[in-house]
Amino acid sequence: MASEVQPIEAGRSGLSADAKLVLIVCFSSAVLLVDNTLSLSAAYAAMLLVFLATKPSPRKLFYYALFSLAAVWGFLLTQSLFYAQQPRTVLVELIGPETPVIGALTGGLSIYLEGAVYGAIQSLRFLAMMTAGLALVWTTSPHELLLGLRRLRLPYKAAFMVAAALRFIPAIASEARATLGAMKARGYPMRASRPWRYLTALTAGLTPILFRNIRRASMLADSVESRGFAARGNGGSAGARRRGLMETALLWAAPLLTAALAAAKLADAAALYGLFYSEHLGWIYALVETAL
Amino acid sequence: MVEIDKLSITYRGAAEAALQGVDLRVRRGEFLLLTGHTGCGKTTLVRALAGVLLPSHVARFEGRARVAGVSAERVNRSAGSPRVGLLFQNPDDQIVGGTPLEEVSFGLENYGCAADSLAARAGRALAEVGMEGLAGEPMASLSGGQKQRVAIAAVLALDPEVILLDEPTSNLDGHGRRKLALLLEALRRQGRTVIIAGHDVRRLAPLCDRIALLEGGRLVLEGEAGRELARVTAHLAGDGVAETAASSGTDQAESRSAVVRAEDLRFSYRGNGFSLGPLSFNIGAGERVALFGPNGCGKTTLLSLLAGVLRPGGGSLQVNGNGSRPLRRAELARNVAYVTQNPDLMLHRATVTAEVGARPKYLGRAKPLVAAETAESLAAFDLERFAGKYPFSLSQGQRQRLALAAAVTGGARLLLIDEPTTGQDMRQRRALLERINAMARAGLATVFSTHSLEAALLAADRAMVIDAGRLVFDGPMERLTADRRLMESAGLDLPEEGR
Repeated sequence: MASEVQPIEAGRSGLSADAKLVLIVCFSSAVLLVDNTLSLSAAYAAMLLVFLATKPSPRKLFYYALFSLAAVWGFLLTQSLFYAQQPRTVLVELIGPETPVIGALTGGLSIYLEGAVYGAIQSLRFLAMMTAGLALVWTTSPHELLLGLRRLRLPYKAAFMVAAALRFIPAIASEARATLGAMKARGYPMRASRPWRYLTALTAGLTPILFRNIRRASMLADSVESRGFAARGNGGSAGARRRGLMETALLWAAPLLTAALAAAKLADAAALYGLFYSEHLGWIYALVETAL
Repeated sequence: MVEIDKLSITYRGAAEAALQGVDLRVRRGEFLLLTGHTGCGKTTLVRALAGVLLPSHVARFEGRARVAGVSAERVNRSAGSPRVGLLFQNPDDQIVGGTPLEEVSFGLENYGCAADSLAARAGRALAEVGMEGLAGEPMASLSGGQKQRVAIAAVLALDPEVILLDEPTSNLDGHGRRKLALLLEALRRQGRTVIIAGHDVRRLAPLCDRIALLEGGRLVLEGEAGRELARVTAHLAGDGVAETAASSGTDQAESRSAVVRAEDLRFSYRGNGFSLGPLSFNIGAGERVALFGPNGCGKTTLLSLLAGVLRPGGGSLQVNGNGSRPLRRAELARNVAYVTQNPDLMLHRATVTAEVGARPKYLGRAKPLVAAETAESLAAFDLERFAGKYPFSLSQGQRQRLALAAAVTGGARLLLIDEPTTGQDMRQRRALLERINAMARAGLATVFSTHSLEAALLAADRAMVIDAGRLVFDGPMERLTADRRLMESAGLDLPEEGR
């Protein structure tokens, strides 16, 4: 009996994986180019809205908040303490240079205002890119990613490896849970009051997880080889739907806008260092100074 | 269809050849069962026939293997379609697609199937296994049996001349096994040639025309399946005693002190809607309980609750507790020994000695006591000669034994084992069940989940059947085996005499 099944991407709405990848690369490039705190905040807020629109589960939101806070804390702390550029304004002096022994050794330790601002900018960049990456990963199946990477002309075998790695993340997570569960059942002291115990348990648990995954990788390799992976090495492109007008427009507009942004920053830098200046570009210099 | 002439394969660094001068013929349309103890060379032969194990610096080949007139090395490298399709026991280890349609399309794309005919061919293959209605469903939402059917469809879509199945029944409950049997019957009607590698001789042999027994890489017996079954079974059992021997049992004390007391025990997973319970039961000291039920019914969840890995969502659960207070985690760990479904996931230490000694060490015992208990366990589980070895350098059966030793060293009142016989050959299975019996005689209560009635008949005196999270039977093994309807709902194959 012949059965009618729909092509893989048929009926799916929203952006294809390749469009998402291109947009993320453009977005990430843009946030690396922009230095203005307000603009970076706006970019992050916009990406956060996109991320929330994917309706992440409460558990995912919890982990997202946890990683975000850890990242912000890490950037702010390290940049505030170790900011080396001048001028710098001391907000709080932790160890004075005249403190016996330690003061002489460290030359003093302070929290600097400029360092904190720089740390905030770096945090915003990191959060914006992380949020974009998570929005991609949580809304794209491994096969959609394979199709997307193929349309971006990545070699089939490389694209397959990326997609296969994503495909097995849930299985690896489940095995990690089983391993930790078995350790707990044998009395391994894991308590909320001693979080480092979880880290040491995870480290010890890497051995069985690695062993299991080497075995799985070997079986997967046998399975895909027996289904012609090496015969032509040319899969991963059938079943894709045609790109819509809006998606095509986005795919052209995003790289063009990113290139324009890079050109504006380059022109501003050239003027700043006295390499090239033109009165006609005055509005660009002003835009870069005020918003970028 | 398949011609194997004096095939020998030696892995680099191995003292002995994995296959030694194997001569075998399989005719077109024939079903062959390839069996033998773990490590006998079945998987090596299957991989060589599938063209995924090739002569290289890792494996030295002598002799030759041909499938449909083509050297085995070339069976999946020619354009058009492969000569051989390969299926492993665990579909999760071979599925690469996010949906059944993606999975079936994978091989078709690799062989250059035109986009306009791909959907039709994929649809036909899915229809052959009854999965056409679920073509676009996320793979994560499918049951183990459904995934296995998808894996079979992915092979059928390529229209191979020979299909190789490696341990196809080891993860399946009775329902799954019956469906697989129907599928194999359909393959027979289509005139396909099938080679099945597996331990489950009693269930697989009736589906096959011929049987071939490998021992230490050599083909030691080959013949008609029906005629040779008894000889092969006796050989695999090690001493001529078939595994369906009657249970030795233990003396059941009428009034055992309860090691486990569960009252309206409940648990729900967030997100997937599955809930277990309410369940009420007691388990006495030295009692041997087999936990039955179809795949996904909640057996592993119940064991995880008893082990303290999961916390009950409601009701009360006491393990070795006399008062109303449930045991704390450390107390639970002292009283409960737990062996997970994949025992490899338990092994995290650098040596066998460290692995066996981990539990008493984690329980805070003094060093001399840890050393004494470790030495005692190494001797009791026949692991002394491996004491300084890396756990993963041991064979599968030895690792299973090590996991059991690692779980019980330091003493316990309750032993929980999740699917202890999966992937074990008959000899290993029997040795393991005998150990369980010995521990039960010493007063250890044992609960193990299984799909194998034979294993339960050898090592359990009480059966608990769970179906869709509810306890539908709790009683002596004899009562279960006498109830045909209950056996079927538990996903168990009926005993030979009951059919």
